[in-house]
Amino acid sequence: MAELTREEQEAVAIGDYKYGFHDEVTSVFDMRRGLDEAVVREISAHKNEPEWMTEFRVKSYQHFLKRPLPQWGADLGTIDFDNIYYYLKPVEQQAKTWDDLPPGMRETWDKLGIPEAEKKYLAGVGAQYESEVVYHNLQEDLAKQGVVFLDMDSGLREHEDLVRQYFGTIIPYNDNKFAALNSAVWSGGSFIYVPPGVKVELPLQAYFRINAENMGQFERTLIIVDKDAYVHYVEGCTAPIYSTDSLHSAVVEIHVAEGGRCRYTTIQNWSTNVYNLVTKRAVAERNATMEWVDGNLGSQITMKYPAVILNGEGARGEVLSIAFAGKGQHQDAGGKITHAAPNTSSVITSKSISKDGGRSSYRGLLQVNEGAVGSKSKVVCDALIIDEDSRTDTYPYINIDENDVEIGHEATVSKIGEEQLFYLMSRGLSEEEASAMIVSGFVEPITKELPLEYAVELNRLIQLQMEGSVG
Amino acid sequence: MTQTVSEPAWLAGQRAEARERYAALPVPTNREEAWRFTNLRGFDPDTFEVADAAPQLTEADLPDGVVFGSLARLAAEQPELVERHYGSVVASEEKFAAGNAAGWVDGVFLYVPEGVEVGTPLRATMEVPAEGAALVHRTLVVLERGARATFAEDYGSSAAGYVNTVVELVVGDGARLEYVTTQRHHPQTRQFGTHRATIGRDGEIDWVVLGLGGTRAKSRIESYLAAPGATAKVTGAYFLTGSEHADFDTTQEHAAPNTTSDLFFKGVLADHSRAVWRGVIRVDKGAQKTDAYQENRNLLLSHDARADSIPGLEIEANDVRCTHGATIGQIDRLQLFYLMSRGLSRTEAEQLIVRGFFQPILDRIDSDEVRETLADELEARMGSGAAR
Amino acid sequence: MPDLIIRNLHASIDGAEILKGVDLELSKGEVHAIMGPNGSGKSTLAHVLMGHPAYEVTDGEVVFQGEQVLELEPDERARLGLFLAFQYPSSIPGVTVANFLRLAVNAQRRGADGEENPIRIPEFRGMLQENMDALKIDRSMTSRYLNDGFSGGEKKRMEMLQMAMLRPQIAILDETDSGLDIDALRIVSDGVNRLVGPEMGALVITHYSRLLKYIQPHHIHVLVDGRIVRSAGPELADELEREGYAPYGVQEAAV
Repeated sequence: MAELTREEQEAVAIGDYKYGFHDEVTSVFDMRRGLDEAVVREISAHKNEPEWMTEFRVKSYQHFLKRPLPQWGADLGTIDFDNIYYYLKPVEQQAKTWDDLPPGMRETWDKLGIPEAEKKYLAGVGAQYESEVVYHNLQEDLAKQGVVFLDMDSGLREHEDLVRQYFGTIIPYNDNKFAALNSAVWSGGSFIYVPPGVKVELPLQAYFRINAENMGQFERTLIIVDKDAYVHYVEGCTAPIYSTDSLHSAVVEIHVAEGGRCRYTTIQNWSTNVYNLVTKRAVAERNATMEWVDGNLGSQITMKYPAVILNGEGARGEVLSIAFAGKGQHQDAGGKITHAAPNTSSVITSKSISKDGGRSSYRGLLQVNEGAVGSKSKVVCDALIIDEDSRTDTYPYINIDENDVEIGHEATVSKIGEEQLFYLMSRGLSEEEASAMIVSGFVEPITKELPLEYAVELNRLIQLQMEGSVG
Repeated sequence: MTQTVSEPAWLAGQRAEARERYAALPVPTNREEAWRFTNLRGFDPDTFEVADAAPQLTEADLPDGVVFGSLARLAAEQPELVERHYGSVVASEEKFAAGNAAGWVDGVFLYVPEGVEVGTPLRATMEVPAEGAALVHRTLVVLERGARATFAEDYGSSAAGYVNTVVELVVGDGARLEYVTTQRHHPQTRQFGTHRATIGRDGEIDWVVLGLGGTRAKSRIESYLAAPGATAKVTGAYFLTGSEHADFDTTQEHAAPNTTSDLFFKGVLADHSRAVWRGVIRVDKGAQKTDAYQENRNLLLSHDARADSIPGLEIEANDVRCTHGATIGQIDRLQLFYLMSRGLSRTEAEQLIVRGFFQPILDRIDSDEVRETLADELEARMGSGAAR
Repeated sequence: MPDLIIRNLHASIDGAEILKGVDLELSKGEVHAIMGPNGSGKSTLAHVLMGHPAYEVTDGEVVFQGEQVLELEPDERARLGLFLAFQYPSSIPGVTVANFLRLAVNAQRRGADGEENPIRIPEFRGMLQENMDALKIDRSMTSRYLNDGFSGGEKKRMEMLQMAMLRPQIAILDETDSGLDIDALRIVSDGVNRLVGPEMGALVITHYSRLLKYIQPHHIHVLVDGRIVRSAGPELADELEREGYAPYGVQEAAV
């Protein structure tokens, strides 16, 4: 009976958000709430880390303390850093099969459809629950070709030299307040190495799940794509709905060597009590390509601007960004490109939708350094505002230190056209269906870039967001 | 300060309040978003000697009821007329605006009564008198319902100085104001100015902003479209050489439905010069049917020149048309080659291309006189060896 | 009882009255043509019947299949069996023709209680190919975005394809002032003639009598200044072609 009641309560609280349930998994190791240097050292000790990593964490923590909250973007003044759990270890051992997980947790992953997806179209899966990656697997033939796909903690243990070479070099610990926080208390995330010439045809996926209330999830990902190699990494994320806030603050560093290509796709669907403050940056060497596909549908506040530093001649960077801000949401998303070498090119395409008083902001930076002659860049931002209570902002910073460049920026703001709506409704579609269809069409230039399964998922999420929006 | 003797009590009171605010506010640092690209390190406005300088005004036969003259004198002679709008357009919560409200020495007051059209363009010239001098001037222009006028202000300096200006423009219902502001400065002069217009129902403002010279100069150009049918057209041109640095901060705020704004800034940057343009279109809740446009284009003549372009949209209504664009480019090598192959020297060819670059800006200006003056200014700048 | 009954229909836009009392009855199997000079309200009638939100109905009623239509949203009218072929169809960038048609067909199949009864994909594909072949539409069109960048002829074909897929009981064709070329005339007339019969009636709205050489109407109505001023048999088309709308007090070149 008691359980039924809980489900009923959840059904009311969750509304349209399908992933708002939580399970009763008891963690095997809890750090107390709040953060101080002792907590930082304890996390490191618990993980048996090398000395340099402990020192890195402590240095980062000290910078985190000093660094003020950003004075731009969304309002972060409401984050209660003292009320957050910085480390929760859900299971003793990482599982090699889904069946090895505790039943409640296994059920969660089933509901999220991850084991199913792994069978059908993924080359490897990592599943993080609270602070630790609880399941990890990579197709055998890829392992044989030398592809490494581990959780970050195992990566540090098994490939310390490689990790040490790159860790914290693309995003230094003092890059910003939340990168400093992550550097201090990071746990989990992915470590990927793709050897020269190896092309991983199916995507590798990581799924991040927060289950506990007031949880802080700080995964750390490092991807190294060697010469002429290719990988597509996909991440998804959900959390239960609670009345108090959780914090997700990840750091993702990517290095793409000469001629390599990396695509990183995010479908972010945190519940609307999660602060999502993430730093993502890639370095692309000569003739390398880095592509960020960044879909932000969930969370209360997101501040995330995937960046590419075009470090070698002929490098290419692309950011495709979709943001959907519904009731009570502020999506402050965008992209940053730095042209640091000659003949580099970049494209940023942003499509945002604001509805029910939501606010979506595009914030971007296009930097052309001195000497990056022949650089080309195009930034296009389109915003769709569904109703008059909602808001959209566009802040495309452009800094140019070189004169031999071609830079263009365009932005438009529109609403759903009355004639379009009438036309579709005259064919029998309800107003909701017609609006959702127009919105799907609006973001289609980005969804068409996704593997079919993810495009379908994204469209489904947009439809959910559009439901109950008219009438 | 000469005018304090006969200054009305309300004005003295406002000065005192502003003085407190000014003292409390620090000189902005580039940690503040608005000052990110204009670093004021080492600059202390209080080290300059405030000059007791009056503006030079054109003499003209003005229609009945039009008031045009020294703000200091008219604040004393016609205090009710000045008080009605004084301080109502530009708030003084920012360091330099507060400094102006506290310590302005003189400036210009123009008042045009309902339905009156001032046929002759009016002009005021302000000159920094000596090296190390500060010019603290204020302008108030009030056009009543249906009035029309053209007013041009020129700030100049031949030695390194400091200029602090506040310009308040009140454009009444159905009124039309053409306002031109020019900065022609010594390369080391700093000018900080807040210019703001509030435009009434079916009113119209046509701004022209010209930036020539100066260092770490910052001009805020703000149009507040207060009532339906209001229109603002803002045209800016800048041409910087040496190590000059200009910073333009423009706002197009649509506070009422059916309002239109159209902003176009173009700049040519030579040598080590640097320009910052930050523009925001703000559409307030309920300001449906807004039509807003902003565009910034920069032409860099040298590898060492730098342009920062920060367009911005903040939109809280959904039935609007808002577009913006920004481009930064260099002189097209093929164009240059083509012109030189026809016998033009490199300088001549570059000048021709720069002239062509500015032409769309000139084409936007209705008044022949304003357009010709602007064209002359740009030509003079080119002739001074800017485009090499 | 006729399938569609229009009684004393008054409608205005932005406060200006356009329809000033239109009466008309139409049943499946029949083709009616409405002709009239520019600005007589022909296009307004088409839009009001389908429920365009910009128009306000100030008086009168429209009964379709025994239901009061004016209370219904456009999608509800469509699901009852009304169809409007637009003169200027909207484009929906990013939405493919195939995707759109499947959703529209499924909306049509949905029960009155909202129960879904989606068409099976092979069945849908077969139906789509059959209709596309009949209308001489290239297969590649299904993957293009709906009406986006379509030529005039392609848009006409797309409207006819939708009509064929949705199988309405009454189709309204708004061809108010289009200078249809021979190609377009054929597309529209082939599309309509294929379907008119015991299952469908049509209301053809046109300015020129030319279209009526391809679609034989049973009745012709002349609409002038928001009212039907004359109704007669197909012979009226020839009369209008000879004399124009002058006999109705309208100065305009022959039709």
